[in-house]
Amino acid sequence: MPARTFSISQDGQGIYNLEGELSIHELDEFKAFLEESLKGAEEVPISLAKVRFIDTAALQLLIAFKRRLEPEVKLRISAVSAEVEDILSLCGLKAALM
Amino acid sequence: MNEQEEVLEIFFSESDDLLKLAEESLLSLESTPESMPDIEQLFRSVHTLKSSAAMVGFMNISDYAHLLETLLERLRSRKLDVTKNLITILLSSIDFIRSMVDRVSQGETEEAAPGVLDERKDQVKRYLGIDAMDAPGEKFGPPAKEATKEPPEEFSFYRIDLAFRKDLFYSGQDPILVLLGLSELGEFVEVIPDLSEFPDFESFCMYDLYISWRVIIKTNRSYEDLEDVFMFVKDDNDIRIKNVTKNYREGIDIGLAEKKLGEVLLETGKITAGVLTDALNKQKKLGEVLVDDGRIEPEELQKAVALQEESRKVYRKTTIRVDVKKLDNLVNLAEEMGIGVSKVLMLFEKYAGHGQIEMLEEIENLLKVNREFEERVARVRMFPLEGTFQRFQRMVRDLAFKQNKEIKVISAGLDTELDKEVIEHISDPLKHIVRNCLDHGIETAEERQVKGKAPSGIIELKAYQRGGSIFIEISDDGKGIDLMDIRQKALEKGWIQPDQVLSKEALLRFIFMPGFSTSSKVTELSGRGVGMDVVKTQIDQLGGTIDIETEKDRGTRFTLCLPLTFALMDVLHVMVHDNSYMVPLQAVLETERFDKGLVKRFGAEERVYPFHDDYLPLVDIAKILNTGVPSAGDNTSALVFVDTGKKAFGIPVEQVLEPRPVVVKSLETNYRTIKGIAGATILGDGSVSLVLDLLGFEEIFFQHLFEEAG
Repeated sequence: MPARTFSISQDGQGIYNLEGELSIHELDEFKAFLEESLKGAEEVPISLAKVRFIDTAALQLLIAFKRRLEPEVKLRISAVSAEVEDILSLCGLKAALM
Repeated sequence: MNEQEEVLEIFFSESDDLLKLAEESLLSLESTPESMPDIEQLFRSVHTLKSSAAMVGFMNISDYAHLLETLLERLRSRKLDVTKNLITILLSSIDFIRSMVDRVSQGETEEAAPGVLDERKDQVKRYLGIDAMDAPGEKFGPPAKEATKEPPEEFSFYRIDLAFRKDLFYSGQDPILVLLGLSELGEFVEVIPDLSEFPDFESFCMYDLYISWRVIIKTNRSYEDLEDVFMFVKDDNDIRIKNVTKNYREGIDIGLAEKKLGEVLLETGKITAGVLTDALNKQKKLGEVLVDDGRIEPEELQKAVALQEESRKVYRKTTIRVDVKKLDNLVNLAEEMGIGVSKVLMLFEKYAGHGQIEMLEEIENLLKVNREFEERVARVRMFPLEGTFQRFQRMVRDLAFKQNKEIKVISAGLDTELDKEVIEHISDPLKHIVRNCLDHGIETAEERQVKGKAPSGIIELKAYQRGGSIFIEISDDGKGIDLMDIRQKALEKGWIQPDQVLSKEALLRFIFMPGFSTSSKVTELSGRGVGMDVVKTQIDQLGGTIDIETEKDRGTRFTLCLPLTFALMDVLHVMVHDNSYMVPLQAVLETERFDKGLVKRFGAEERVYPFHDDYLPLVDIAKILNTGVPSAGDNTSALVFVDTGKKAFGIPVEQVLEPRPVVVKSLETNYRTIKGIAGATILGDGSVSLVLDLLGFEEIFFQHLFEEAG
């Protein structure tokens, strides 16, 4: 297993900042985070501004959560990095996620 | 007319025919894109036009036609598919040629305004893939396909379908990486992820792959280069690469325009194949729907299809163009000859002695031949309604497109013939009615679907002959006319009182009042305010009538009834008080000896008479026409029973003579329109006989009844 380069932190405005490479290897942690942060929340703002890479599996998980929650709870992607933006347009999944 | 002018005249009328033919083929191609005969006809029309324009020296028309021909050649050789987009461009090209021909026919020296022609040519060239900038200098330049090979870097379009195994992640692969590799070979025109297999959250496993992709890529690399990208995934996964360059001119999927909605939804992952199949199974063919809805009989449907075939054959027959005046002269001469022969016959009967029967027979024979001659000549003036109806096909197509509606036009009875003059006069009213159906009748696809109707609306044009009249029906399956709206409007206009109770028919009649319009939306097309009153006036002027039937959310039907005023008509000659009248034979049900004892009276003057199992009212000619002479009364010896298509009644007469065909002269050209009279005809002895307009009769009579009752 490669060295972990992924972390999650919450800033002063309550936005969850994801950082590093979000890949299939982080899914367990990522899923646990999503489930935890969603409890009782009306909106979960997530920033991908510091994510340098995201893979298909991680995108799928985000989409799955988004589909399950909405419209009651909003999973909001507040910002994306240029890299993520490129990936989203490459795979055409922007509409499904944003 | 000198020779030069004559040649030009021929070119103008010929190009008119050719352009119509081309347009007809295009419209037909739109519904049956594979139809080779239509492509051939289209090609031939444009080709002929090109040559004849060159012959009379209209080089710009010829050049443009040549360019179109090149494009059509590709259709013919199946290098290009027929798409809605292409048809639209070709239709506008045909329009453009028409405008050029119109300009030169009006004496302009330039076929098109400067710049316009180049712009138009560029459009066609773009479609051909020729660089619009390097237009070939010579007139009939090299075929365009060669030109497309010239660019050193030719781009191709590939469609790649990527359906990976569900457990792809386990092998360490990721679609995003594959897509990344692919994107290095060219430019993604489109990436469509298919999320239709994406499960509910409960059955979602985050280590399985649920998404598949379709990518359209524009690249100058080879097929093999593309294949290499999938080197590591192609064995176990379903990767399909297809060259779709011919669908992708200018980077737009022109195939999409003609694809069915279901296919598009499926391809873009908005629905799954199962859902589509289910929905499609619920769908029926247009013909079946119409038959099921009772809007058309199965036989009629078949007949319409057969008619379509037939009319196409007729259309292709050779025709010549003749000045209408020449025909009119013939009609008049034939008639005068008939009158002359009749006079001779009468003189013979009066003065000839015995033993001259042979001569009499000969003259009678001559009279018979002349009648046939008259009839034939009159028929020459008649034209089928096909051309008129066809124009509406085009109009509806264009307007529906603008209004974002889906509308099909069905026409029946295209071979129904009408006098040229009548056809010219009904063209505008018909157009107005069709526009009304389009603007106010048929809803948008969304509205229709909410109502549970098929998204595509239907406008049906139908013509047939009955009772000495031509009927033209224009119906739509739209929202129908809102009677409450009409009532409201009539109240606003002060035409009715708030407590006034009105029948549906009475309310519908307000539509024909000047200044009436219930349209809540002004469209660029039918506007507002000017409307059905104008239509009604025009139909009235032709001596016709117009009827409306409507039902909420089922549609509206306009029925025009046009008397064959200008045409030859078979009539029954009857006498009332030494006046002779002609009753249109097609309306006659029966003639019967009159038995005074059978008459039943009711009211002050109304009389009915038993006819089969029914009682029919007796309608008195003298009373209806207000001739001032006493009605047949006691001298009545016979009854002529007629059916106008709406009502049946009996006409008391003193004498019934032979049925015969007559040329009906319109009264309004020499006198004025009189309700109840379709026209007049000149008898053999030179006297005038009035031809009855039974629909007018009916209207006068039953209105009269209504007024008395009210």
